[in-house]
Amino acid sequence: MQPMPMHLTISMKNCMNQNKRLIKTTIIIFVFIASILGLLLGTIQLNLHNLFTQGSMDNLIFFQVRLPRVIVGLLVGAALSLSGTILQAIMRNSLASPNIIGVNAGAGLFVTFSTIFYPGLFFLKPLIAFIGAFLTTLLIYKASYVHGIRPLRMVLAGVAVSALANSLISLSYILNPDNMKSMLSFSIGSLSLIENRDILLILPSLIIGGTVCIITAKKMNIMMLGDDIALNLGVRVESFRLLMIIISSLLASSAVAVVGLLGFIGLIVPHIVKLIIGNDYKDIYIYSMLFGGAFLVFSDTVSRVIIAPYELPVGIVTTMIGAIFFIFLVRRKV
Amino acid sequence: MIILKDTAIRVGKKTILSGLNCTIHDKGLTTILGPNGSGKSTLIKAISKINTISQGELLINGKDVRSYSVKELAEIVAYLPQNTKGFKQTTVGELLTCAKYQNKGLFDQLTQKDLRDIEELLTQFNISHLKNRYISSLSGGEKQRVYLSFALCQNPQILLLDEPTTYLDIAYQKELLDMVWSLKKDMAIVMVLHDINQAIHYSDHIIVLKEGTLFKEGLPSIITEDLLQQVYHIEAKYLQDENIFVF
Repeated sequence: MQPMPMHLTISMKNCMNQNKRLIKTTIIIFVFIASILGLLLGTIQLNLHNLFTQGSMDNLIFFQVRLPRVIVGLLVGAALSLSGTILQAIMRNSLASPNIIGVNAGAGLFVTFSTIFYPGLFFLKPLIAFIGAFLTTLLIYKASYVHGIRPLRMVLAGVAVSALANSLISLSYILNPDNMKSMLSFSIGSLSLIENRDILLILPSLIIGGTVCIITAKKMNIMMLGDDIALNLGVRVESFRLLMIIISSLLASSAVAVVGLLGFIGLIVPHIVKLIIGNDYKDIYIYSMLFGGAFLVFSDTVSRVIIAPYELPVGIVTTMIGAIFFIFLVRRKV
Repeated sequence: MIILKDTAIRVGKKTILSGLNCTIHDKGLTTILGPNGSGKSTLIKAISKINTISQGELLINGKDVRSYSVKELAEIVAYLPQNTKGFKQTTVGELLTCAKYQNKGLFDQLTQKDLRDIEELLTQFNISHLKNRYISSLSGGEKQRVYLSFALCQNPQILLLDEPTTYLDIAYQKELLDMVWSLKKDMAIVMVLHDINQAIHYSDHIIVLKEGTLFKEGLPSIITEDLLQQVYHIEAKYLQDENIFVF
């Protein structure tokens, strides 16, 4: 093969960099647009003049309902996307996501049981969800460990454990028909009951998870070259994989504790971001969080206005948008 | 220097190689030969601590490989596996950059010297123009040059190559082996090969494995018609003038 002329290589590099910059800028703009739409649109038309008038209905709706909802939406979307990005990377499988490998279902199972038996434990919800997610993850890890972890075996074990946890969640609905409606909303995922205090449930795990991810992004880049190569380049592969699984469980479980079993974001967002942003995990993590947050807030806004004055659980919208987009991507890129 | 003393190596719970005794010197090219399943790749992976030593010792520079941390070993040993599937989606520049991070802490960045080293390797292997290309878009020969420069990014004392000529046509195989040959003055190279004639021409030292044990080791001249009959169960004829075997 003839070497490419230098001027062509340079112009190709500039073109690639420009494209990436454009994509990154577009994602940041999407975050702002989705947030503004989320704040302004809804069943009730806000009067912007009264927004800062203490005690007015517009002030109340804006600061007590929409603002926390948009903030939590951004944080939950970021947490789920980051969780999915981690899982897809360490398992080298595009199908891995917190809801597919059972992390969500484990967290959901514990939250469901705690809601039924100890409904007053609000601030312990993330902890309960994390214990559920972590125990499920350990079970999956144990079930799939035969002389080391094989990512595909872990995905398959996760699917089985997820099915088991989901069947127990369904059983709890049947045994508690009084709570059926709220539990159904939990199992689909909804932002409709978000309050300011929910921000405190999701923010700590996102700060911890985001920080660990950014710090270890270089290691993740090396992990992508294969286990043997990563080991040879000084990465303790099994310990690193376990650390990232714990971080992923933490992120997914706190999201579940706040909005329920919101599916598809952890699967679709990392996939899209990896396709458009390149291979550096520092960028992939950052833009997965941004895009995931914006995607959830945008979907939530759609769920509020599409059949106004009624509201759909946002999980239905994320799954519908996500599934259609995913099929489009699969046909174009794979 | 690598010394094996009554070494047994296992993969999972299964012992693949046992009773290995040999020495691989600091400089020069050692080739491991043997039929499929004889344990060639297992031995290479044990030197890079991917496989486990279950008995005896495997000493690298006088220290048992088990007592090296993965980071310490990464500063001495570079390993290029047969399966480089994970490389496909990276660019040449990204791949070499990854290799340079092996001795870095979590918060360390690449230094000017690291970047200069990468540039020098790109120039040495004539692949500077490929820096922004994806590995999947390269030809077989280009890939091999990139992979070698990737392994050399670690500044290793020991370079392990697992069947580096696989999937290459004869011209690229020769190009690669010539490159490897030129590197042996600076480091110990241990390479797995299938081609007997290539092994004879491109080795200072040959280790022959058979059914999980060391069958014979020494200079390339240990390869004889009898040995090939005993190890591979094939009839071969040695042409002395050309220094090759015909089958």
